[in-house]
Amino acid sequence: MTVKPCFAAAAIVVFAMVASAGDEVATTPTPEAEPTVYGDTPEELVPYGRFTEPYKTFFLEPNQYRGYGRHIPEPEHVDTVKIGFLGPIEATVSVATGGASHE
Amino acid sequence: MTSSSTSRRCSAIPALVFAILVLATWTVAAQVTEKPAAAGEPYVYTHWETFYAEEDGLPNDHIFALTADGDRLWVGTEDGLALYEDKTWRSWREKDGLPWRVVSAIAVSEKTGDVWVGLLGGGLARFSGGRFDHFNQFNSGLVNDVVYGVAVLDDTVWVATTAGMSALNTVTGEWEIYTEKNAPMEEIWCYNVDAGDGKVYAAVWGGGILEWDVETRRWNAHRDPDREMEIDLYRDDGLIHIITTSASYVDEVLWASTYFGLSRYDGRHWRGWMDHDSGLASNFINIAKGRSGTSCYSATDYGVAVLSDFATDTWVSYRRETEDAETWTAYIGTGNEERRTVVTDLSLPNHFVIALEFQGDDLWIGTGHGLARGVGKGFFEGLSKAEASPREEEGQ
Repeated sequence: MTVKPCFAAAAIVVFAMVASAGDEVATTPTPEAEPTVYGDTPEELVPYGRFTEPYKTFFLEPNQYRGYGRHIPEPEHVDTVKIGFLGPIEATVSVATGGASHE
Repeated sequence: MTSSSTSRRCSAIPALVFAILVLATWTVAAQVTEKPAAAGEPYVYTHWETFYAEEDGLPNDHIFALTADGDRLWVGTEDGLALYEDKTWRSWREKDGLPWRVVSAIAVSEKTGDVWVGLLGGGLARFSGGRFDHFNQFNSGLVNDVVYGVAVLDDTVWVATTAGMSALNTVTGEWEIYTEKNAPMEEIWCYNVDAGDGKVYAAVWGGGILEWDVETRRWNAHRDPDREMEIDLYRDDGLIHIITTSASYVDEVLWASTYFGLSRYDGRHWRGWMDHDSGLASNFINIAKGRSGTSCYSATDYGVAVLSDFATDTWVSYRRETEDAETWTAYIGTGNEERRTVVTDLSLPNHFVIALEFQGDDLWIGTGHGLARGVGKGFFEGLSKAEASPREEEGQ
C-alpha cells in the first residue's frame, strides 16, 4: 500500500455567545409534567407509534454530569459563554488510505 | 452511699459512651471487613486502595486506560504511561520517549510481551526493550492518529481510531485498513476493540458492534433492530442501541456497552439491561468488561455496576449514597430491586468511571481523578454457596 504524505486538517473554531444575565431574561419554564416522548414529537411521528409502545424511551431527562469538578459551584453571574468546536471544517485526506476520509 | 453511687454513675457515663463508641466502631468495621457471604450472595469489594498523582507515583490521575499483565498493571493517563509492579510506580512521559502525552489504550502481546500504546491524537506506540516505536497516519498504515482502543490477537495488533480500524501484522509489517469502504461501518468512529478466540469486536459509535471472523475474514454487523435513537422497541431483540462504547468477548459471550444500557449476546440470544430494570445506576456506560460469560462489570458515569450472576440477575452497584458521603456504598439487589447495602472504604471523589480491569481477584477502576484497586480477598464468582452467617443482617 502506498502511503502519501499529506496533511489532515483540523480546526478549532471558537464562538462567543453573548448571554444577557439581566432582569429582562425570562426564567426557563418548568414542564408541568414529565415528557413522555422525545422532543415533543408529534404523535404521528413517534417511532412505531401506530404499532406498539417502546420498551424504553430515551432522552426524557437531561443527563447529569457526575465527573470530577461536579462539586465546583455554578458561577453566579455569567456574561459570556465560549463554545468550542473541534473537527474538520473542510474535507480531509486520510494519509493511510490516500483518499478523503470524511466524504 | 449516695456519694459512692453518684461516683459510680459518673464513672459509668464515660464508660457507657466508650462502650457505645466501641460498638459503633465494631459495627462499621464489621461492614467493611471481609466476612463469609450468606448463601446466594454476590461478592462485594469492601476494601479499596486509592492512588492519585505525584504523591502516589502516578504521572497524572486522569485515568484513561488500565491493562493487567500478570502481576503488573499498565495505566494510561492524560499525561503519561505508568506501570505498577511490586507496589512501586514507574512512569514515562514525552520527555522519556513516549511519543504523545495522552494514553488512551494499552494492550500487551502475550506472544512477545510488547506493550502497544494507543495515543489520543498521537497514533500508536510499541514499547519494547525500553524503547518506544511510533506509528502514525504519516508514517504507517494507521488510518488516524486519534486512537481509542488497541487489542492484540496472535500476531495482529488491532487499532480502533476515529476514522476506522487498522490492523498491523507484526510478522510481515503489513497494515490493513477498514473503513466504510470495505466494512459495514455506518459510522467510522471506532471507540473500542476487543479480540479473542478468533474474533475481533469493534464498538463503533453510531455503528453498533462489528464482528471480524479471523478464519473467514468477514465482517458481521450487530445493530439495534429498531434503528431508532430515542427508543428501544423491545428489550431483548438485539443490541440496545447503535451508539456503542465498548465490546468485551469472553467465554464466547459478547458484552456490549452503550450510552443507553448494556447488552449481552451468546451467539443465539440477546439480553439487554437498563437503569430501570437492573442494577445499573446509569445507562451511560463508558466501558464494560466481561469477567466471564455470566458476569460483567460496567464503568458508568455513576459508579461501577456489576452483574454478578446472569442466571439470577444479581447485581452489585458501587457509588456514593449522597454527594457528600465520604465513601462509596455497594448496593446489592436482584434486577432493579435493592436488597441490602454494604459500606465500603472506597473514597474516590467522583463517580465517573472511565476504565476498569481485573487482576487476579482484584478489581481496578480509573476515574477522572484517581485510581483505585478493590482488594479481592476471598473473591468468588457468581453467588456464594457458603452457609448463612448468623450475624448477616438484612438492610441497613
